[in-house]
Amino acid sequence: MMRWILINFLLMLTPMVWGQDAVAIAKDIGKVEWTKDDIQAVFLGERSTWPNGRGVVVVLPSSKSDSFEKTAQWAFETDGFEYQKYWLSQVFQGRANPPIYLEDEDAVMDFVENHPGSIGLLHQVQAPAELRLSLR
Amino acid sequence: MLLVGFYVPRQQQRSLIEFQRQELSVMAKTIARTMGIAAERDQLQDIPLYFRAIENQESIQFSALQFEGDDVFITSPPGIAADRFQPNDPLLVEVPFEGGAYRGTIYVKGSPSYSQLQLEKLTLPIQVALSLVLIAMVGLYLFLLTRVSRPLQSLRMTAETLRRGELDEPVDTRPRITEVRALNLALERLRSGLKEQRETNALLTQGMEREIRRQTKDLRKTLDELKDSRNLFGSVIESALDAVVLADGKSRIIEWNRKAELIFGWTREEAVGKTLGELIIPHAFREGHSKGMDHYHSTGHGPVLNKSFEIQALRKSGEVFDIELYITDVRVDNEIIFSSFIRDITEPKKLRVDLEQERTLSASLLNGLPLMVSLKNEDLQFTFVNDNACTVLDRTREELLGKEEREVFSEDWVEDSIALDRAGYEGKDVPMRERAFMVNGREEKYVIGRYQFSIGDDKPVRYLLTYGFNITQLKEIQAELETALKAKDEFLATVSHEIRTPLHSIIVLANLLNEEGREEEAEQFSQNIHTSSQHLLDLVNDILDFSKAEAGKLELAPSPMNLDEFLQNLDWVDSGQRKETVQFTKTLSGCEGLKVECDATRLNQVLNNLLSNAFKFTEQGEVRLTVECERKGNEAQLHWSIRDTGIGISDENRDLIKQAFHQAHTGIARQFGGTGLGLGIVVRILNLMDSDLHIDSELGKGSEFSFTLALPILQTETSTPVVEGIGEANPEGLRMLYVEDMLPNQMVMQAMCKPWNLDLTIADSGPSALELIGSQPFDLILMDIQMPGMDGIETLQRMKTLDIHLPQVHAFTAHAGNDDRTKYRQLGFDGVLTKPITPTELEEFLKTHVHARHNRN
Repeated sequence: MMRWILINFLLMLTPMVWGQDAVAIAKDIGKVEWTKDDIQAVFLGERSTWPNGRGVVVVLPSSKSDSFEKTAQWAFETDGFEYQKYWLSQVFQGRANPPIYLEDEDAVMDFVENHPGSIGLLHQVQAPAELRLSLR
Repeated sequence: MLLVGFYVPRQQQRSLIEFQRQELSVMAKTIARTMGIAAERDQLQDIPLYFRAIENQESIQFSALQFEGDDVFITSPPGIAADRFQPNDPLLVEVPFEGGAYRGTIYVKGSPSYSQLQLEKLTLPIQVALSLVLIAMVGLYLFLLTRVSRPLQSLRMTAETLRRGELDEPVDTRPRITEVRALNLALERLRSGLKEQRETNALLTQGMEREIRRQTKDLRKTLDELKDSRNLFGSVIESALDAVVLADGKSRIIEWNRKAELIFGWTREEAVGKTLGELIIPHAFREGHSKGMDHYHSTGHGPVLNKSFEIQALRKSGEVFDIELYITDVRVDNEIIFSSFIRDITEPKKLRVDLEQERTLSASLLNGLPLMVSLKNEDLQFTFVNDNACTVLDRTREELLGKEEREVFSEDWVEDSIALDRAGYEGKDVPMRERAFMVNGREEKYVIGRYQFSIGDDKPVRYLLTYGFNITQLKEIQAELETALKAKDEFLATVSHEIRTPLHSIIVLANLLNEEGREEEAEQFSQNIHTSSQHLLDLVNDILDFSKAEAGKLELAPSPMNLDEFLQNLDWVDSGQRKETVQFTKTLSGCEGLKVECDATRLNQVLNNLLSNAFKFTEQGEVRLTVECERKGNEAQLHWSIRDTGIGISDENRDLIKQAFHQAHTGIARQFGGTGLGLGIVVRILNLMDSDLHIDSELGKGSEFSFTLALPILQTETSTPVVEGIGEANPEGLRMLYVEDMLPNQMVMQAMCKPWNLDLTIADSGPSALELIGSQPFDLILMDIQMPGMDGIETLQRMKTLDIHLPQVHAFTAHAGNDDRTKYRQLGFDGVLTKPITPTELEEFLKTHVHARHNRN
């Protein structure tokens, strides 16, 4: 409980845009030495497998949440509406598997913890160290 | 069959495409719905399920997604060019989708090869079936051709041969089909019968043709003759100068020529077949025409037939006009034909009326002239005489027309007149002759002139116009003028004498005054000069008054007049002219204290003249003035009478002496002097006063001149204001400027003013006067009017423009009429003095001026 109070307090202090403070989280995906571009490609549906050959399951916060806007800014450098359109077209064309939408960041974190191969995006304050993907 | 083979697969293909399109539409709607729900719930994983399901369909070529507001088509498979999305493509289905904030359109394109493939599956069985049907039909055709069509064609050909009349070739009676063979046998019998009939007909025809040719030749000849006759008849009718209308016994028109068309306005086509009554007979004559026709049919006679008469007809326009009509009846083939020859006489009749009116007008004009006018032809017979000529010649028109002068007149002038007429007719210059005629018992004088003229261009006919002016009145006027001129000449001679007489005295006595040793006679000479001058002045005044009276400019200036005072002042009359042997008495009755309104000056002039005459023509006895006054309401009737015991006037001269320039006889003027104007002026003044002069006289015993004046009585006593103190006023030292160009008048003024010690300055012109008043002050200016260069009026107007104090300026002029006085006052003069003026009058004027000036100061 104390930990969530602390996180929320820190979140209040952090700017609304993650910028360099966002980190990707994943679990049991082996050794990954990805750059930021690699991770952006995953969040754009352009890369669909981990280096170990396992499929990547993109987990996003609900398109109606603020976190979705931050994710869009980080991954697509645009607003959430355009990002969601992008995903609709990718799925329609069969170019990418559809992402999984969850209610908020907490749900994202819980889903990643419980589903190996999935990937989410959280603020570095919020992201547990054991789930963080380190960048090359 | 080929069309069926072509059409059925095409129809099938369209059905397949429609079916495929519906299928695509269902798929697209499903996708759109799925995408909408998935996008709204963030469940994109559901999209691929349906998408992949249709991706594998062979009937689908590609699908696409387009977001609202985007130009980009997101296609599956990717890379489909934008030009593939044709709106008219029947296999392209578009369905909108909506999910959450996302809207767009789903496109699904069907595969064209799918429908083609399906079609190919259907085409083969159809084509096989059609081929079988085609083979069966060909077999049927060949059977019918050989067994039915060809025998029937042979029959038709045979029938056609017979119809063309080719009967020589026999019909084939051997066909295999029984029915056809029977038909051919019947045709063969028909052919042989027809051939036999043809040969019989040919023989008959040849005989008929010969007969027809003969009859036709005769008929053509008859027709030609008839045609010639008809052409001749039509030509005559058509070229007739009159309208020709032929009608049958029922008045129905059967012929109507060109002229009839022109006159009546109906064309031949319109007229023929109509009745005369409904076409050309006016309503007023239709009943008469009908009765006339009945009469003709019952008796065979018509009163209007075979004679020319004038009647009225009706044009197509409805106009009724005058015609000359000639009708004949002809019986043709036992039928009556009426031929009418019609002439429009509207214009000739109008010309006749106009000519008659013109003649009447000319005769009226000539009859109305105050001239004697007659026309004569080459035989010098009268062809026209106007009313005035009949009156003057004292003959009726019937007595003169067609006669020569010598047949009518027996006076002396006849032969001379005929000779002059002959010369005038031949165009010679004939002098005008004066001739006297007795007209209504009075001799009238005429001047007769002659003038020859011609009428007509081709064959001119000459006439002689004789005219006479009545110059009787002119002659009388001429005589009167000659008398008046003579009287005027006598008057001028008399006036000249009257003027020269006093002038002679004045000139001679004035010269004698300058001679030495005449001092003792100087006073007598001076008195004589004064008397002569006064006489001369009276004469000039008389002439001026008479001249004004003649010009109608003599006017009265009535003012209050005390009758007592007026009669009392008449005493001066006898002082100069009364002779010792003649006694003057005045008898007044009823005039006491009477005050009337009258022009005293003019009344004084009347009495002065009458009294002067009375004294002049009376050597001894008395001259009596009687005034009787009778009051009638507000009016006083004054009866004036001047009676003398002088030479008297004869009866014949009594009225004559009232006229100007007349004295009883010229001897009077020599004996008694005078111009003869006096009584003329008296008569005119009395006329102005609504009175007349009555003369009662007996030669050698005396005369009485009397007149009556009706004058209004003034009720209120108005006293003339008396200016007191004028007698004490002294003009000495008065600074007076006298503007006068005539040296004698300057000298007279200097002489008159000398005794009063005036400060007199004389200017001999307008400019000199202007210069003087600018350099020194004056108390009074007397201005002559008639001066050379700048006259008195202009001088005064210039004086008024100067910036100086201008004293009173009085006009001093010989223009002495009332009009002149008014005019000068209106022009700005303060008063008017009349030339000549006596020293006494001048002194009175100066004293009045000084007194008034003193009172103003």
